[in-house]
Amino acid sequence: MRARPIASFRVATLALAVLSALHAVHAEDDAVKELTTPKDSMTLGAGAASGDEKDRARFGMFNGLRKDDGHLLLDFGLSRRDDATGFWTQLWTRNLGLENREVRLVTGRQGSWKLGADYSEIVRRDPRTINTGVQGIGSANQTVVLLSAPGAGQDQNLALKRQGTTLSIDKWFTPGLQVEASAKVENKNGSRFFGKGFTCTSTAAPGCLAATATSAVTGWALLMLPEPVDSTIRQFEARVNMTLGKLFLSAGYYGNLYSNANSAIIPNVPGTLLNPVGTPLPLATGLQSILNLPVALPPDSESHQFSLAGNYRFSPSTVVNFKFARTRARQNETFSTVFTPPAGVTSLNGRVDTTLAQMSISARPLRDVTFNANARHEEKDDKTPLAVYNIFGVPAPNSPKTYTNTPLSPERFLAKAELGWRLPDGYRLSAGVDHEKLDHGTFPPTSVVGGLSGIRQKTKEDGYRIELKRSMGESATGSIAWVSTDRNGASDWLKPVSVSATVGPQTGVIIADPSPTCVAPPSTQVNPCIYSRTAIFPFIFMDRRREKLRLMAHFQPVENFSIQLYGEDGKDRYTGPTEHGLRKFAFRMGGIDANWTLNDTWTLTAYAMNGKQSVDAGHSTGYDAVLTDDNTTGGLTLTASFGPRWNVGAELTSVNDVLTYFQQQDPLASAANTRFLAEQGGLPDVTYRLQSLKLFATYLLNRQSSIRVDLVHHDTLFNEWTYNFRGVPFRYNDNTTLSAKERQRVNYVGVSYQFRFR
Amino acid sequence: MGTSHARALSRIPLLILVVAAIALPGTLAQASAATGGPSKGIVLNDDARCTKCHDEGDSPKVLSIGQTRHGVTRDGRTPTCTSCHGASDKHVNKPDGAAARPAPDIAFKGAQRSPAADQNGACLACHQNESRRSHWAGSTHESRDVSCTDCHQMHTAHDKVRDRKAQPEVCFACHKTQRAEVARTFRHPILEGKVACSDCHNSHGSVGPKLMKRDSVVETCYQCHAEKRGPFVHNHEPVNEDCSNCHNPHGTVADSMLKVRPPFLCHQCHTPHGGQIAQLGGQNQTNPAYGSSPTSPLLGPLTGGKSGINYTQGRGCLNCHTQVHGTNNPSATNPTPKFNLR
Repeated sequence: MRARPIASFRVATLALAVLSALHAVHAEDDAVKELTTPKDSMTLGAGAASGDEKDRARFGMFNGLRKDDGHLLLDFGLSRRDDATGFWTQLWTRNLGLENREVRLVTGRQGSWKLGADYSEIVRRDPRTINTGVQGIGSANQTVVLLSAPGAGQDQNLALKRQGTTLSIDKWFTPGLQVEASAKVENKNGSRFFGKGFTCTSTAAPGCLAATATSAVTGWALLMLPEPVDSTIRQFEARVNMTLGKLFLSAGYYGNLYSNANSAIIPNVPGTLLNPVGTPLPLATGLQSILNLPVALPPDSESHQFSLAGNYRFSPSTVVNFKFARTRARQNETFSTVFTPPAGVTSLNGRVDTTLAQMSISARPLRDVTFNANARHEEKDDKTPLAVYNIFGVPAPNSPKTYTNTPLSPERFLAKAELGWRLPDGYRLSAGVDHEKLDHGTFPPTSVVGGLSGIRQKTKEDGYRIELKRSMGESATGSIAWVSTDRNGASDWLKPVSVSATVGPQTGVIIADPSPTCVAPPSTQVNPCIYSRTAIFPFIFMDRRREKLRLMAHFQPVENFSIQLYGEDGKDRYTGPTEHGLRKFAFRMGGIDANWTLNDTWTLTAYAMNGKQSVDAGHSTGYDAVLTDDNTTGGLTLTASFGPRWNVGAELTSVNDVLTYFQQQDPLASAANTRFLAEQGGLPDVTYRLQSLKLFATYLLNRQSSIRVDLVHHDTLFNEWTYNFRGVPFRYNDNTTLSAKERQRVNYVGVSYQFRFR
Repeated sequence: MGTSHARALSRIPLLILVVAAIALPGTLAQASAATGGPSKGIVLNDDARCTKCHDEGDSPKVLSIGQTRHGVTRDGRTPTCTSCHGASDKHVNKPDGAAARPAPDIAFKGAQRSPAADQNGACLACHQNESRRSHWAGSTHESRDVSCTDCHQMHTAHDKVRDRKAQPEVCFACHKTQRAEVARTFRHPILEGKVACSDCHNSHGSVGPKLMKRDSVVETCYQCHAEKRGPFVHNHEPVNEDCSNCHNPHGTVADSMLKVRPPFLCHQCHTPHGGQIAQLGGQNQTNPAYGSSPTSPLLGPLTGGKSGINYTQGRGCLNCHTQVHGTNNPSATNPTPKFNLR
């Protein structure tokens, strides 16, 4: 009697044990497989945004949500992997229901070959609405129509669409021999904001006459003519990568070809446009024909580079890397028949050859010492032939002066070295020196400079930087860094010969005397004096002293909380022959970041920073300008998981950007400017504010599916004077105007169903 | 045999079953793994040394690496746990008397995190001979002790930095100024994931400045803006030199991502023409009091085009000098295209 229960127990135990074992095996197998196998997913839903196109102008500039009120949310990701062969196929999409959709397909046997195909679209919608009568927008031939009043034309929202397709292939022949190649074709279509303008009289067009008290005409005109951007960029890249022991070599080709469907905008301008005070009047003599001259659009061009790059590892810690490249850029598009090139010249036949050589070494000569050095030389050789493309119409009795184009062949040499010491107590000290030499190239003597007071052929810059960093485990890290460089002229200032000069050489440049005490010679001789109180010298040639201080501190007192403090202060001081032009650029920034994992449910990240930039420049019209950009940006992200089903999050972003345009008269100021500035106060501030709140919640329905809800509130304020000031629109001479709502508030809701499957 | 012995013997099959129930899953799992390759572990080749203790309950979840390319055991190049973390004998066999289990030989996070060079050495052991990383040694990130795992996540199918939309969040962890700049109104579509940091920068080292993907700033920009390349009949040299002379590609509050609004931007190099101070339409320019005479106010029927309004509002100087990147107009006729007017 006792045996039966025992026997029964044994059978039951046996069955349970076997079932338990098998179940455990399969459950574990399933669980492991679930965790280690790539997953497929699909998202299907819909979204809707409030307001109209004008409300969403800034919100929807790139995200595909400006034009349509509602849209489909559709994405999927499929991944197939054969573990036995290592063969992958992945298909991935993003934003299929929007005009910035992407599709990516990758397939191949890992370690052997890989094929990829990408398709990407984006539409950039200009945030302003144009009201115009211009006909033919999007094409080369555009007709200007004078509107009866601002706003009487048609609203136009310019858009630029890019559609890119990339095909790529990687093939590993052996572990040490790989070929990678890609081809990308990107089509651009649409229009971008553009225009044309001219004023009479002008030394550049002596035949064009100004309005006078006795001739009621319009003496100047500014026109809005959108640029048709229909064009294609093709990029091809191929590399052969070889590992030969300690040597790695990568031999490559990169080609970039640009073709433009249009070579010019050909305006058709009416004979009557608004004069400066808004009265429709016939155009001044010569002005209409000048405004009707075609505007050249970017020509077809191409660039081909062959390169050899790689590295050699003398030891695990001593590596030399290098690159040698030759690039040939060509531009030989046949000039359009709408232009009048020099006799016998059918294209620029432009060619620029660039040679680049670079080598660097990275070493650890001692256990606690690192050394890096890098040298780079780049040389451009502009082989574009000279031709007389340039004419300055000097008023009679002088005959017009002609000049050639200005091909320049700059060279740039850069070298830097840095030592790093790891010191006791977690300190690390880095110190480095930099040297740069730039030769802008010899100015062609047949050419002429326009619009500049002076140039330099050569500059050189030397600098040093030092950084001290201390790490105290994971709990605290801090660093302080100082950078200082000095740029000086490595050659004389050059004075462009005046285009209206009637004596001496009338082309090219001469060596200048920058001294304020320079005495001008008699008018029959060339005047080398470059100093004048109104002269401005390009900041790229001026002497510059750059100083920059950087501070950073990171604290993590406990594992779930960290805080980072950072700051930067930098100044560029420029000096040239005069006190005008750019004098100082300053940048100061400080901020704080924090990460806090409150508990298993809540995580919080937050940051706040303020940056201030200022540009201090003197202008020859008699005023000094100090332009500042004061930016305060903050963000807060909160995420939480409630149980196994709920995930929620909130992201708040706040931007407050204020640009001020302080202007102050100097002794050169005219009485009119002085009065005007005193009473009108100059230019008002430009303010940009953004408050954005994004909320999301996902609810897990089961192991495979979930529901997600997204809510966005996007509030921007952009108060600028570029196209409107206190209700007075900036008006083109055909009454074309641009506008955008100053305050734009958009609410967005998206609901989607997400499904994961295998 | 006595009763007690008989009872004991009768329990042997039960004992065998209990032992089998405990042992079988492992045995079958090993048999199952063996079908995927001679040394297949639970997730990676030869991972038993680690997976006997670590599983999905850890952070990071170690098994998820199986969803990544590192988890393709058929590819003989893929690592096992110890390829990256080292043999870690002391971690596996905690020394007697040690208060806490030592970290693996190469630890990528936590208080016992290994030096960046050691961490990166684990990755470079396989990845150094790739064209994108040929200039890692000596690069800004390498020399500043940035480790691969500061940006990359290994044990997850979704490595944020390789997702174009999520990538900026990773980069902004250090590049704070750029985080603020991309929130401005005129910017590249970085937040939308249509332009990624890696479209312009090669964070693994490059020959160009600022880790530019191509050899220079201009060559990098020409990838998408090839129309600016030329050469043109009339070039604008600062354009050929460096786009960032005028533009901040991360974002500004001026159209076209200009660093400063015209005319102030242009006046940093060029002498302004015309004697007017920058001004806006609507500032009462027709008031004779502001002019040089009652018949010549700042704005009147006879005002020239170079008025303070015309080079301040709209496109500023570019209202007339529209071809600021250079023009291919070959016409040697007045007005000269040299001034980039047409």
